[in-house]
Amino acid sequence: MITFDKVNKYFNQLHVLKDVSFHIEAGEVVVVCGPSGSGKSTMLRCVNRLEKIDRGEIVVKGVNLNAPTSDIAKLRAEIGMVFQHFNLYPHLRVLDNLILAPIKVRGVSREVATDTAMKLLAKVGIQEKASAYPSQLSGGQQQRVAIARALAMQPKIMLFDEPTSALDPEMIREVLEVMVDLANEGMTMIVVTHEMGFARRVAHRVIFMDEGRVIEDEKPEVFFSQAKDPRARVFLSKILSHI
Amino acid sequence: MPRAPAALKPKDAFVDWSILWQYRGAFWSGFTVTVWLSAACIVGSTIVGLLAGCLGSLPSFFLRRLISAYTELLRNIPLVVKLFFFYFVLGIPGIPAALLALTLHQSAYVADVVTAGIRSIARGQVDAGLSLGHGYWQIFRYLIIPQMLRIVIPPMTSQYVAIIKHSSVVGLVAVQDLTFQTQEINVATFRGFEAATATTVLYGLLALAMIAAMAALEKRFAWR
Amino acid sequence: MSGASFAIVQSLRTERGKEWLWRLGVLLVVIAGAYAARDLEWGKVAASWQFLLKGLGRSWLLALASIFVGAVAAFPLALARVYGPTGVRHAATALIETVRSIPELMIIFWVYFTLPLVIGAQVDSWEAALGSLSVIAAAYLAEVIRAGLYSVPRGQIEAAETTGMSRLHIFLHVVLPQALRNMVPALIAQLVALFKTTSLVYAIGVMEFLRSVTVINNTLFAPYPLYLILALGYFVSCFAITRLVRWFDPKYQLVD
Repeated sequence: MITFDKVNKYFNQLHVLKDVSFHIEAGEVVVVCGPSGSGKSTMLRCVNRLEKIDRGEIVVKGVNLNAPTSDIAKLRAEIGMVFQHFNLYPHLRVLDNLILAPIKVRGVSREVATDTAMKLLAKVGIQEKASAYPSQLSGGQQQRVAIARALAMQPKIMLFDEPTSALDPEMIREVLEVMVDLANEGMTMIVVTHEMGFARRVAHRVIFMDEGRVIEDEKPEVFFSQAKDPRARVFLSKILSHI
Repeated sequence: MPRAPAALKPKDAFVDWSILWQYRGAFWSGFTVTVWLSAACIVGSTIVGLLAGCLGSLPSFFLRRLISAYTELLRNIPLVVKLFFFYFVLGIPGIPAALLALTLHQSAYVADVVTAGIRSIARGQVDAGLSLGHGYWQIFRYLIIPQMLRIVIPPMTSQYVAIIKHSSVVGLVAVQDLTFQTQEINVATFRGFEAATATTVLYGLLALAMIAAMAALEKRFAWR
Repeated sequence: MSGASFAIVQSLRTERGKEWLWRLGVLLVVIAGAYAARDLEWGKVAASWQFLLKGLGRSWLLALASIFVGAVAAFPLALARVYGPTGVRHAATALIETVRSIPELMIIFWVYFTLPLVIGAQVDSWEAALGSLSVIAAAYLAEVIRAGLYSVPRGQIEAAETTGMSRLHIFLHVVLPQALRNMVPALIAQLVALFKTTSLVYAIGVMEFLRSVTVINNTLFAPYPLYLILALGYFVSCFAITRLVRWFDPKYQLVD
């Protein structure tokens, strides 16, 4: 479903992705972790070409992202993305946040889009907030709306870029539960997160990145108990035992 | 239209407000000229400024530079110079010259306000739009412009008040606005104090009305 | 395409390359403009260059003098508005907002035409120009200073309070240095605005740059070269001041 082949990216002089290669099958849930600045968010943003790469090849659903003929907008419509800071549209009500893309990108009628949107809001547990503005919601509610907005396009792949990092601790759970449900339904997911409990519960694989390289690519039980690389072990000890 | 200072000694020890009533016709006509001139320039500079500001925000280096050259050129030359150029050099009659000069002048400021407004919209909004499959035009149309329109209301208010104030210079090319009429009354009656006070109050009221109207507009955008 | 020319085309695609291309374009436009303007009646105008330069000098003098006087008055005004007791605060606010809401030309007329009626003494046009521009500068600068004072985060003051500093010391050593630094760009922007406002004292007969040009034009009738000089004089002066803003503005320093 998603293949990275020796992907390299630079921000000016800075080499942020170094020969990143991996393959993700349909239905797989992959958690990506690593220290800050390790390139994990950049890697994620390459999947729907929010970032362009300098060398290598990325193929998503059989579409080569670098080929000039590829219809990137069409591909993006099939890849949902959830951001650290939610990025809901502040000027639109929750429902309008959900139906804008289906109507304008897919050409779905307003009635059908509204119908789907209300079902999705029910699924993430906030249908009663449909006519609220994003600023009137808590962080956890906003992030659940953001997930519903991405799902409204009926994506085949979901990308999560540190979805719980900007949340107060008591709201992390409600967002993770929605994500767990999604994983159990068989959605293909790449999740950049430090929530190792989530990785243990639903991930099929954990990719550990450091300084722009993929260091480990293991099943969670292997990764947590017998990570080979010392950098991964140091990272794990730091993240699992912060007092 | 420089004139000799009016009476140089206080003619009477007391102020005589009846002069205002006596010259109410002149005040009223000056007031209406100021109001409609300002209104026309507000509409004009908003249209030109919005267009220029949006163009200057597109991801094109040369377009951005071109628009910033436009605003720098207009901002760094005083309004009166532009007004005199249209009136005295090109020979455009007073009212069109005033409209043209004021609109052009303020459009540069509006364009800067719009550009700054667009720049202040979080990059994440564009990311979200792209990730959902919107093209750049849709992102501009449905995300950037509506958010920008809300953000620019407060700075736009100052620009509109500035237009009302700056419209006072049109008297220098014999357009009979409020300031012009005040000077006429001053010369005719030596009652400069009363006339100037009344005019000052009128300008103040216009500014307040503008601020109130914009505040009401801001309230209608409930989000945020 | 050969290797070298391909490299040149590539380098023009970078931000720096575009910047140089733009500068080249501006240079070409300026040269074309100068070429187009070569046939204007420059001979007629040339003899009056000293007179015009003096006019421009007077505009500068007016701007600098009134910004100085205005700044001296603006500081107590701003302090009164921010820290004064209620009555003083309201008075300062009323004064600042009144001046800011009246047209600049109206203020100039007030000082020149109306003030003599009130005080019973003549005010000559230079005094009126300096006086009115100073009043304008004071009101606008007071707002700049107030914004600067408010730009210092509340946490800074609280942090200083926890160390037991007196209120005066907090103001002098914590608030003021940060506020001054933050207000420099707005301060210089006000200087630009004031420089342009000096053109309005034309209306009361002061022989500043605008009046110098119109006076010469009335005798020589060479409007095109004279108005070109007029526009250039103001543009170069204001542009120079805005470049000063960039030089002071920390945001620009980081980029360059």
